[in-house]
Amino acid sequence: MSYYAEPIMRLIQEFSKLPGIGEKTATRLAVHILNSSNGYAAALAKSLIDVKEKIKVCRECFNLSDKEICSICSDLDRRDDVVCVIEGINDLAAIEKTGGFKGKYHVLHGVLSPLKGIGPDDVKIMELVKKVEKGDIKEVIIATNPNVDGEATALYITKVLKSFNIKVTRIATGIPMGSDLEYIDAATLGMAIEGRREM
Amino acid sequence: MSMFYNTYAIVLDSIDYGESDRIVKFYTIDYGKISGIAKGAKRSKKRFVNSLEPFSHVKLIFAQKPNAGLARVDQCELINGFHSIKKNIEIIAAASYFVELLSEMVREGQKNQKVFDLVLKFLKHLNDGKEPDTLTRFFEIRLLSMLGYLPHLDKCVVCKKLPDEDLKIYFSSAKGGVVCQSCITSAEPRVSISLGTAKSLSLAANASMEGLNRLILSSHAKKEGALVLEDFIKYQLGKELKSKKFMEKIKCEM
Repeated sequence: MSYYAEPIMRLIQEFSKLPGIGEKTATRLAVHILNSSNGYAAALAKSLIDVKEKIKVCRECFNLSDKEICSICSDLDRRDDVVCVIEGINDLAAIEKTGGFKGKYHVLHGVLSPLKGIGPDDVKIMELVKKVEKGDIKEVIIATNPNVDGEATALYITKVLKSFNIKVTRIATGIPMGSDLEYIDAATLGMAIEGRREM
Repeated sequence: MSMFYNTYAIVLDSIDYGESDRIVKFYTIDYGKISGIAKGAKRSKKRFVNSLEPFSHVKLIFAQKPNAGLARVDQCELINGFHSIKKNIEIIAAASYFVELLSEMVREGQKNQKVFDLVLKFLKHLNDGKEPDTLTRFFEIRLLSMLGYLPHLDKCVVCKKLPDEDLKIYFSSAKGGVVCQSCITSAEPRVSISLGTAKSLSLAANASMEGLNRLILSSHAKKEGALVLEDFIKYQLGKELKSKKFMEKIKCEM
């Protein structure tokens, strides 16, 4: 038997479908909404519907946006000839936070993975090649994660872009700022020495 | 109560789980294949740093309750990450195929130290830059042999006679070996194989490791061997491996 009225029960069930939320947290959230103002509940409901209805994929870079072309692609102050290739939109946010990159992006929406059976057709690599074919791009920076799948993706992109006369670069792997060499694992330190730069 | 185990392992696969955990499949030297959960693996900068990547050779400490499916990975220290493998996409695909094939062919908890040594040795060869096609054929045939799936390659499985050098021979996955021209039925699915390829594969299955290093497959034997073993493995497993499909995809697009 349920202790809650049916509409509350339904809300609890919907909340508990969210990642990382169990029944207890779901109940707490439902009660919180019940106690808050009508305006808050309406705004929350509207936001939920808007995010599903208004968000689409940017035609240029495949970032999520509420317009046909996202704010980054339509920004005239950003360079058109440098493209940073990333796995997903979370990575875009991470790079944007650095404030150091003033080019455009290309979101792959996934990475190649031999063990998961994800091949070149399952991610947006051909779209990148088409973009490069137009001839405006001078440099492609590959910023996939430095793990097996990310490396496989980077190597594949490098191969398919080989025939174009452009610079293809890979983000550096190495020691985090402010850390201590003594405590860095051998693999990372090895990569850092391999990828050293001239001063 | 959990028991603690301390062993050496090769990482077969790892998938993200929840916010920051990972579920990792290992092939251990002492306990065979196990699956374990590494809590906080995605966030941890010290405990599991880059040791949970596929085909890493690691020192592993895990805890497991009796009859529990998933072990708890307590510590995983990298011995060899085979970093050179990660510099070439064809080699990444081959190494992925090695670990996926192993993972599919063995059951959980089935210990086999020889198999462990085999995988480790072949990953080292790949890391050293040896030609991946020949290595893949040798790996397949030796793994099949060690796990008791070696097809009959010397004699016809039906009449038990040595095949005649002049006549054509075939390989039938359903019958588990080579079939001579007089024994094959027309409706039977089969793959053509030459006597030379059958002999080379048989030799690769039985040779010592040193002998294997000297064995060279002709380009014809490589092609035929690939078709035969692909068909046989597919028949044994009842499916095609993901990394195999991946290998073919990148090969035809390059």
